[in-house]
Amino acid sequence: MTFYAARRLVLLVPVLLGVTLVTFALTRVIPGNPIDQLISPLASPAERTQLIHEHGLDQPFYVQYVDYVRDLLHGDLGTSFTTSQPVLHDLTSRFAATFELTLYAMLVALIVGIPLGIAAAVRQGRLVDHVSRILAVSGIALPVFWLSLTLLYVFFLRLHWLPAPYGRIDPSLETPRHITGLYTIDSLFTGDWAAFRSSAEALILPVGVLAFGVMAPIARITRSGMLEALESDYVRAARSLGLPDRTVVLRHAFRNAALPLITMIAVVYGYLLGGVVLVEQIFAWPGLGRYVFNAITSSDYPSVQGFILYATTIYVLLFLVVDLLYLAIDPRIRHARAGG
Amino acid sequence: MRRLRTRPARWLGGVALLAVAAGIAVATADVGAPADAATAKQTADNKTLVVAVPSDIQNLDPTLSSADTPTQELLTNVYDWLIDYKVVTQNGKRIGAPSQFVGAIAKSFTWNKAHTVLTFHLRKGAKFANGDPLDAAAVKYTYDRIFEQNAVTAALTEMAAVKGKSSVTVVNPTTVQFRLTKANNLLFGNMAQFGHSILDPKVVKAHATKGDPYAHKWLSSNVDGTAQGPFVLQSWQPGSQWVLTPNPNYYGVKPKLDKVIFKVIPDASSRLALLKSGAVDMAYNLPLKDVKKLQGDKDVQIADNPSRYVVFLGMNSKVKPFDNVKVRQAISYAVPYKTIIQQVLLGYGRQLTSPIPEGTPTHTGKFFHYTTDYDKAKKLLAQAGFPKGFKTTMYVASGVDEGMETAIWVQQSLKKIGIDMQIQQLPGANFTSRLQKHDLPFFFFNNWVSINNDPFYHLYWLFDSACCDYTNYSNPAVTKAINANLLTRPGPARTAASLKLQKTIVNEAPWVFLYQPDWIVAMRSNVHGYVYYPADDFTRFKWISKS
Amino acid sequence: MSAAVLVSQRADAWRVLRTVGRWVRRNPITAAGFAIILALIFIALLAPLVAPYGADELDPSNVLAAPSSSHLFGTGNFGEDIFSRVLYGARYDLLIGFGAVAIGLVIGCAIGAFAGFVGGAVDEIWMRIMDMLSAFPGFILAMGIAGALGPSLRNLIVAISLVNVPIYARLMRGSFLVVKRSQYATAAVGVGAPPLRILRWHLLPNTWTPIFVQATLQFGYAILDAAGLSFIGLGVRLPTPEWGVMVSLGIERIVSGEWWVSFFPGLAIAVAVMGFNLVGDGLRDLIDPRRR
Repeated sequence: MTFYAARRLVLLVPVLLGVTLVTFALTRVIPGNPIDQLISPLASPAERTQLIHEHGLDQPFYVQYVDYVRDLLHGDLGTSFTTSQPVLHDLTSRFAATFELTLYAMLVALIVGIPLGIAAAVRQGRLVDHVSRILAVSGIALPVFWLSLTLLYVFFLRLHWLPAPYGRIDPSLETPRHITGLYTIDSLFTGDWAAFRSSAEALILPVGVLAFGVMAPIARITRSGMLEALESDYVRAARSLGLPDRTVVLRHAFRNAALPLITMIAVVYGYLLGGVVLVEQIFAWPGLGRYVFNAITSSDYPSVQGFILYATTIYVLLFLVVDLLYLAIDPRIRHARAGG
Repeated sequence: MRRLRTRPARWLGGVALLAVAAGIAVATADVGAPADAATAKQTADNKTLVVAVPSDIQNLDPTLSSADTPTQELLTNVYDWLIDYKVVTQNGKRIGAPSQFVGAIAKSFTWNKAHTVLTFHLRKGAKFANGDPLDAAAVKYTYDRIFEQNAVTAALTEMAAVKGKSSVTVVNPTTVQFRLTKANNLLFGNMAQFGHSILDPKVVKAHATKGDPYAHKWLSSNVDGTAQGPFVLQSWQPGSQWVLTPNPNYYGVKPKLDKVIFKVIPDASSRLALLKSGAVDMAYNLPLKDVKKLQGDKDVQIADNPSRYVVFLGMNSKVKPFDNVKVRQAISYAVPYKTIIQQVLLGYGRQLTSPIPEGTPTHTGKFFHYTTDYDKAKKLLAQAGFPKGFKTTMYVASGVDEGMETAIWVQQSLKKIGIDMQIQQLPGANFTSRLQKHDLPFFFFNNWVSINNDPFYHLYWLFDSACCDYTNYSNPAVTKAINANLLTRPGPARTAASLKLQKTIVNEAPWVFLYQPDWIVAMRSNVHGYVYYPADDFTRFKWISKS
Repeated sequence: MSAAVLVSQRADAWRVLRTVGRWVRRNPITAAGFAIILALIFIALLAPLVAPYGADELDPSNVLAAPSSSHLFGTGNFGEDIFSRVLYGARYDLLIGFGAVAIGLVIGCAIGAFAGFVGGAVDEIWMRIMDMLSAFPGFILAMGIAGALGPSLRNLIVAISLVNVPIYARLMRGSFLVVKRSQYATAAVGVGAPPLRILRWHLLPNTWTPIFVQATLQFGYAILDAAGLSFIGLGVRLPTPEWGVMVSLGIERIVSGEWWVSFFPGLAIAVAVMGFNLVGDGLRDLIDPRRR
C-alpha cells in the first residue's frame, strides 16, 4: 500500500506536467493579446514591441514553455499582466476567500445531502423519497447565477434579511486579524463578534447557492449506494440475525454506500471550483474564481496558468486520496491492482 | 425493509417541510414589501464614502499605467501635476473645463510671446505626502524619467513639440521652463493628466534597481510617499477593495471626507442593489435602464452630464464590401438612430453628428444628413452592386450591454435592406487585439474620448494614426489637412480646415455615427459637491462631501 | 378471423395501456419526468406553429411589458415575446444537452472500455491522461475551450462535451475492473463462454447503470454550463433564443423589477433539466438487473 501510494505520487509528476503543457497551449490559443490590456491604445508600435519582449512573448512557443517550467521549479509562477503582482502572491492572497466558500458549501451539501439520500433509500417510493428527489433534482436544475440573483432580490432587496453583496465582510468593519484566513474562524479567535456576524451573514447566500447545486449528486449517489447495499446479501444476513434497523442502515449499509460517495465528493469539489467563478462574480467575492475569470477574459496568461496549476494539483491529490481509500476499503480492487 | 424507521428519515421529512414552508413564506412576504425599508443599512458616517466600482485597480505607475478607469481615476486622486483643469460653472453645474487651465503644483505659469517658452512658478514650501520637498528638482527628475522611459506620456509630450529631456530646464528651485520647437495647442491637454504626476526622486531612486532604473516595478503597485495629491492610498486588498485617506501635506483644497472606500463589485445588479439599500454611497457603470428607474427614488440622485465620447459602428475600408463608400452610406441610412437613442440610451445621450464630438472646439453637426431611410439605403446598396444585400457579422466586445443592444436593433433594421447580419461577441482581450490590428470588418466601438480637447488631435488619432485608425480609413486629402493643422494655434484657418474635414468624413462614412452618451454617476442623495470633468470623466473626490 | 385479430389487438393495446397506467401510478415522479421530456420534444418540433410571435420579432414600442394575455411571459429589452422565444429555445437547449452528452459519452466510454479491457500500460497511460483532463475544474476548462474556439453553438457543445469525457471513461473502466474479477465473469470464463459474449452479457449491463446515471446528470449540467457560458458571453450567439442567452439578457432586470425577462427562460432550464434527471433517476431503478 505504501509502495502503491509512492508510485502514484511519482506518477502525478507527468500528469501535472501534462496539465501545464495543456494549459500553456490553451492560453496561447485563446485569441487576444495580453499586451493590449497593459498599455494605452496610443502607445507606439516600438513601445508595444518592447513590452512584448520584456514579457518574453516574442519567443517561440517551446522556449516560452521551457522558461515557464524552469521558473516553476524555482517556485516562480510568473507575474500577472493585470495585477502586476507575482501570481503566487495573487493566488495565496485570494485562496482563503475561496476556500472558506467551498469548504462551507461542501459541509452544508454533505450535511443535507447524505441524510436526504439515506432517507430516500430507506423509504423508497414514499413521500420522503419523492420530496428528496425533487429537492435534489431542482438543486442541479437551477442555473447558479439566476438563482443567486433571484435570492439576492428576495432576501436582500425585498426582505432585508441578508446583507448586500459586498463581498466577505461589511466594508465599514475592520477585517479580522489574519490567522487562518477564514474570516469566520479568525473573528472567533479574536473574539470580534461584529466581524463574525458580518462574515457569516455574507456567506449564507453564496454558500447556500453552491451547496444547493452540489447537494443533488451527493444525495443521489448516497441513495443508489444505499439501495444496493440494503438489498445485498450481507445486509439481509445482518437483518436476519435480528440486528436493529438503525444499526443495519447506518453501520452496515451506509458504510458500503460510502465508497461511491467518496468519489462523488472529489468530483463535486471540481464542480465547486468551477461553480465559484459565477458565484464570486455575483457576490463580489474576492476569491480565486473571480481572479481566473478576469484572467481568462483579459488573456492574462501567467495568472490563468498559475490558477489552473493550483486547482489541478489540489484535485489530483484529492483523487489520489480517494483511490487510496478505495484500496483500503475494497479488497477486490486491491487484488485487481496487485494482479494487474 | 420498507417499514424501516430511522431517525434521519424523520428528521429529514421535517427539514423538507420546513424548507417548503419557508419558501412559501418568502414568496408571499415578497409581495408588497417596501423596497426602501428603514432597515436598509446606511454607510457608517458622513465622513466615509463607499464607492462600488466594477473592477480592481491594476498597474499604478503613472507613466506606464494600465488603461482602465479605476486605475486612472485612483492616480488622478493621489497624484498631482503642474497644471489642472479650471473649475467653471456652466448651466448651474460646476465642471472642470477641458480646455481651460490653471496652476496646480505650479502656482502659476507664463508663456513668451511666440508661445514657445513656458515658465512654471512652483509653490514655495510645497511637500510630498512623506514631507520631502516638492521643488524644481523633483519636476526635472519626473520629466527626465518620462523621457527616458519613453512610453506613451513621452510620446504625447513630444507630439506637443517638447522634444526630450533637454527641453525641460530648472531656472531656480521654484522655477521650471519648457521649450517647444513649434507653437501649438496640444501641450496643456496632455499635461493636466496623471502621466505627468510629479514624483519624489528620493523615493523612486530608493526603489530603482539595475534592470529597472526608474522603479517601474515598485511604482506598479505602490504610491506611498511619492504621491502629493489630495489623497493617499491607505490600503489595497487586491481583488476586494482599496481605501483613500486625505494627504495631510496637500497644498490645495482639503478633502472633506476622512475616508473613501472603493469596493470591487463586478456585477452590475449587485452594484445597483448596494446603492439602493444605502450600503454604498456611489455606484459606477450602472445599466441605463436601472439609472432611469432610480430617477424616481428620492434617496438616490443621478449626476448626468454630456460626455465627449464618440460611439460608432466602424466599417473597415480595407474589407469587402465596406471598401465601397456606397455600402457604408447605405448602412448609415439603414440604422435606426432614434430607436437606439431611445431604447439603448433611454435618452441619456445625443446623436453623434460629426467625427468631432459636441464639446470639442470647431464641432459642427450641420453636415450630418443621415436619417433612417430604407428606400434611400436600398437604392445606394443597389448602386453599389448589392441589390439583394449581403451577409456580414458585427463584432461587439462581451459584457458591453450598449453594444449588444445596439447590435440587435441594427440587425433588425439591416434585414429590411437585405443585409443578413450576425452578431459575434468577442471576449475583451480578443476584441481589443483585433481592433488594434485593424482587422474587425464591422464593429461597435464606444471606448474613445480624446482627453486632449483639440479637434486635430482627435482626428489625427482616429483617422490617421497607425494605432487607432481602426476602420483603416484613408484619404490623402484628409491626412494632409490633419498634418498641416495638428501643430498650430487656434484661429479662423484652423476652424475652416476642421469644418472641411468634418464634411468629408461624414460623407465618406467610415463610421455609422451613433451617439454621444451622457456620463452618469449614481449616488445617494446625501452626497454633495460632485464636479464633472468632461476631459476624462474621472471623479475628483476632493470636492465630495456627505451630510 | 380478422375480427379475432382485431379483438386480440385491442386486448393487447388495452393490456399495454393498463401496464403503463399501473407503472405511472407507481412511479408518478418518473412519469412526470417523461411527460416533461415528451412535451419539450413536441414544443421543439412545433415551435413555429405554436409560438404566437417570431423568435426575432422586435417591437420598440412595447419593451419590457409585464406578462399579459397578449404576451404570456411578458416582453424583453427589445419588445420580443418571451413566451415565443422560450418555445423556440427548446430546440437549441435540447440540441446542446444531447450533443454534449452524446459526444462525451461516446468518446469517454470508448476510452474507458479500451483501457479497462486491455489493462496494463495502455490502461495506465490512458487513465493518467484522463486524470489530467479531469484535474481541470470543469467549468473553467469549458471556459478555456470555448474562449479558444470562439463563441458559437457548435463550439459550445464541443467545449462542454470534452469536459465530461474523463467522467465516463473512469466509470466505464472502474466497472470493467470490478466486474472483470467478479464471480460471474470468472464463472462464465470457466464454462467456456467466448470473451465477446461475456462482455455483452455480463460486463456491459453492469457498466451501464452508473454511466446512465452520470449521463442524465450531465445532461442537466450541459444545459447549465451552456447557460453559464452564455452568461459570460462565451455561449451561443446573440440573439439566438437559447435559454441561457435569454437569462443573461434579462439577468440585469431582476433587481430592477422586470423579473419575467430572465425568470421564464430560467424556469425553462430548470424544468428541462429536472425532466431529464427525474427520468434518468427513475430509469436507473428499472434497468438495474439486480433489482428486477
